[in-house]
Amino acid sequence: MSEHRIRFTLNGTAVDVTVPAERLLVDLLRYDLGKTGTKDGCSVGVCGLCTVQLDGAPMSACLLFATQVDGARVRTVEGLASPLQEAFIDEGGFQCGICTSGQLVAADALLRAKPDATDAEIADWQMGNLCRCTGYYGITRAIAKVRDAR
Amino acid sequence: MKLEHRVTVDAPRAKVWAVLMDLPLAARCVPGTRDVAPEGDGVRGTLDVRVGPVKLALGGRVAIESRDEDAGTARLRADAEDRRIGGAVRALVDLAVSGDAPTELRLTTDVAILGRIGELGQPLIARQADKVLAGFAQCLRATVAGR
Amino acid sequence: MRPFDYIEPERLDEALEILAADPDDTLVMAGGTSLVILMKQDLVRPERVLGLRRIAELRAIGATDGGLALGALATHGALARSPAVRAHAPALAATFAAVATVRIREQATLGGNLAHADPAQDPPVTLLALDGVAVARSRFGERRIPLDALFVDLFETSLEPGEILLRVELPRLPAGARATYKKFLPATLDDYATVSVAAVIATDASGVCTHARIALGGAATVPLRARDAERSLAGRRLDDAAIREAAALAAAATDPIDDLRGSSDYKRAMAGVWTERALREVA
Repeated sequence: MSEHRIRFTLNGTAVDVTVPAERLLVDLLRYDLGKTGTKDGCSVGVCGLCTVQLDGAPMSACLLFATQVDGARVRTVEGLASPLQEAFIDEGGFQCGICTSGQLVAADALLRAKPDATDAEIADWQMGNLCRCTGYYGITRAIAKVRDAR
Repeated sequence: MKLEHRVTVDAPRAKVWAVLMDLPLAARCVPGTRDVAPEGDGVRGTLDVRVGPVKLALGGRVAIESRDEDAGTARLRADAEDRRIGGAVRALVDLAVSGDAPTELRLTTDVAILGRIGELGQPLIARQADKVLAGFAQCLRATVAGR
Repeated sequence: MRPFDYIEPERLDEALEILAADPDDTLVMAGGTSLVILMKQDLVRPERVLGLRRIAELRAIGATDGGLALGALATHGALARSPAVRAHAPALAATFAAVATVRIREQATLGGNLAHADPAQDPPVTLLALDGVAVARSRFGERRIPLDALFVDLFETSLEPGEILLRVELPRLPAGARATYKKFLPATLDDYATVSVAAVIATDASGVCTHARIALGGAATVPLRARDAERSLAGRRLDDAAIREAAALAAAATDPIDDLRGSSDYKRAMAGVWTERALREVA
């Protein structure tokens, strides 16, 4: 019923749109802004496919209303320019790719917050990003590799 | 889901039975009930109940399916729906009175939850059903005592 | 999702006025992690959602006179990282760090967590063991609610319509008090606890217990203080026998819900096991 003008940055670029109150961030990103890298998996914030960064913090875009990003910096997988992406290729960090966007966005947020994250901290942080294909070791190896290269 | 409740009423068995068989009267003893009116051989009404953060308005009917006054047993059938949430509740209540001033009333309820309401989860629903029935038993005791 | 009206006041008094005008059809939103799911399932259909995110004073975390005040809009992540929280009790910081996943911790808040009142949640258990008091305000005034009076039933608090949680206050801990939080997760690590135990113990120079608090999560329809167990430790040394007795009393005080995380018998047994482990750690 109510509509709201929201202004935020998406991957460094200013966005100025009007949205209905019930618009979810994941739908705004995918349908209104064409950023389909962020996926909608479980829709209840558990699987991690919809992970985005909000002011640097990883969050589930499926649990956020678009109005909650007004004034914030949002980063999606499209906005990552990170050695993580090469590392995932080299270390077998993905197969089908459905969880990969979320894994990368979460891992990028981790290494920004804790550049010296221990292996245990990597596992704990990435715990919320589920993967059905790889068995996880390729993912954590890739993240550790980037950490060690810094 | 099966639930059991017992309550002892300090009143003659005949009185307890009479109140139980008076459905419009007994229905008003269910906490959260409103708009109770006789319909055919039963009653129609709405039960407002909160299950966690979710408010349900269960509209439906209660009727006596069978009774045996000598044995002091009866079976009530309740069918209610919440059209907004999309779901239904069906309950069979077997009641049994024994003793005579004091009279013991035993309620054995079998509740089935259909549709969306089931999403709230069995533990939560069982808890709320339990509370409603406990309230009913207490109110019944007070109603009988007051007659 | 059904359309609704969304409103995000900048000031607390504005928020309270809006809520007072229509408390039955207005839902308060903190982080939104629970509310958005309920709205997606169409199980709640508010006319209006009142967002608190612009009210900065509700985020404050800070030491008070020997104690601690935690703002209702502080996220679990911020609370886990807070030096003030860690200084008060490392186990409290660890409790906030144990909630769900990093994404939930960055979005979900202390106030939302308390108002949701799921007995398997982490923060209420440790906060209970630390003698936490919730402060709530409505248009008509402020109220202090000891946490054991806040949780009334499964998903039900004693908050009145029109009340918003402002903060939780923790009193100064007895000198030398040790605290721990143990979360039993037999299945997946991102879940709510099957059972959890928070224990706070202080002993005098001769090792005799002078302060005991034991709180249990997942053990009843509300987070529970195991008061018989606490009393059994008063004036006693925390030797094997005392710890076992207290653990048995704690288990006996539980009335767990049978669900996918465990049968009530299993949860009761585990409550005893994990109370014993918690007490050994802080004895």
